[in-house]
Amino acid sequence: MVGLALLLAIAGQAGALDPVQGAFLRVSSPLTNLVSGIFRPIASFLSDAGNLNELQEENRRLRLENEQLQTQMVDLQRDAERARELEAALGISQQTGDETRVAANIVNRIATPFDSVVSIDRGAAAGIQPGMVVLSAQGTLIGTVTEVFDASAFVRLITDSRSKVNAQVLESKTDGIVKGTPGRGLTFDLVRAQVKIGDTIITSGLGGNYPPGLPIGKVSAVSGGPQDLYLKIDVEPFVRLSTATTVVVLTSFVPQRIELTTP
Amino acid sequence: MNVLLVLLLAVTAAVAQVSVAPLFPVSAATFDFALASSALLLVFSGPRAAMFALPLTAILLGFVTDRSPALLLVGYLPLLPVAAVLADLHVPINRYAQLLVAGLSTGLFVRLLLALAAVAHGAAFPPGVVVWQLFLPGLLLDFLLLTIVYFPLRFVGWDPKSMTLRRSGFAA
Repeated sequence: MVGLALLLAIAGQAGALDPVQGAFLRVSSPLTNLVSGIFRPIASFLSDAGNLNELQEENRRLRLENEQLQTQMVDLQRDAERARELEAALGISQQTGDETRVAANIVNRIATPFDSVVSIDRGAAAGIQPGMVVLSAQGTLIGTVTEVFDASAFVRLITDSRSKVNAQVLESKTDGIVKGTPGRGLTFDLVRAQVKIGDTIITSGLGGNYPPGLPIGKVSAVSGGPQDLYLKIDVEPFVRLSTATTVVVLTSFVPQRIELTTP
Repeated sequence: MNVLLVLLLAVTAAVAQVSVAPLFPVSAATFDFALASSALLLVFSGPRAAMFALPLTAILLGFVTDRSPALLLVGYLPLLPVAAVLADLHVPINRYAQLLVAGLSTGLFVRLLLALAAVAHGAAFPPGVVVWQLFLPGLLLDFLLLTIVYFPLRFVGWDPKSMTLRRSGFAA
């Protein structure tokens, strides 16, 4: 058995298992979807029944947020219209349509305190490569592609405890690093400036692994005093990663440096 | 036991591990269908079937979870020797208790091994989190799964087999 484990380790390192793995994932994906579809409503019912008070509170908070966002959207639409008018008057134009994205469904989830990984049903055939950035359907950063097969790929979520993203506070432009925690949460580390609860965290683009300006989450807790070198900042992701079913892979962004390994 | 049935069991365990287990977490731990299927196969079909099923399950589980099959195989490996030692030493406990001891100790070992592998790749290792959110809930889930499946199988008439390698024709 130990000898077999050694053989498997060598074969895995040499990539000899990749074709078999890709074929098995292709065959098992429909089955996984079917089984998951059967059990998800049961899990959802049990989860909702246990968190009724929390859901009511979340619903109330989301209603308030929705109202604020509606107001902001109106303001932004007005600003955009104004900007278009000024661009037209000055004879300048800005190209923003060169991004290409590939939509994919989440097939498998691997969740332990250390791993937050999902597999998706699109792969190299759709132009996906290791290191590409994965977003939610609404454009929030979800993770990074770690391994690609012909028709599937694995994505390491930002809540994975091995995940690190160079980020900044939108309001104060303070830089730091967003890291996954063993409890599948996020912390914002190496921050030396003042940060408030509710501040928005976005990617900074430093390091070249992520494009700048992608929303990540908002600050949910700040602890630490003036004597501390760095504050302890918890971040709540904008998207509920445990229930997302569709993702978007940003195929037009090529990471500058890839340091990805899988255990 | 039929090879096809073992293969079907391994595929089912791997698929359930990524489709069903994440839906019913207790704290940060999830059911380990691969462990449960291998342990129950060991009890009801003996070590021959388990020796075939264990690497197969580890490989398929590695494929769907993007973990090293070798690491998973090493993680689940203690199941066989622990069960054999319990049987060989004539520890005065019944088969259900033997199943629990072998299953729970292997569950603990495989979670520890995966945690250490994650740490080796840069993850933090807060002992409190690992013990309270992974090991203890993991033991509870393993206990529940093994118990929920063992007794119905006994009820329908499946008899436990010997778990020693010697009685199964593997004497050195």
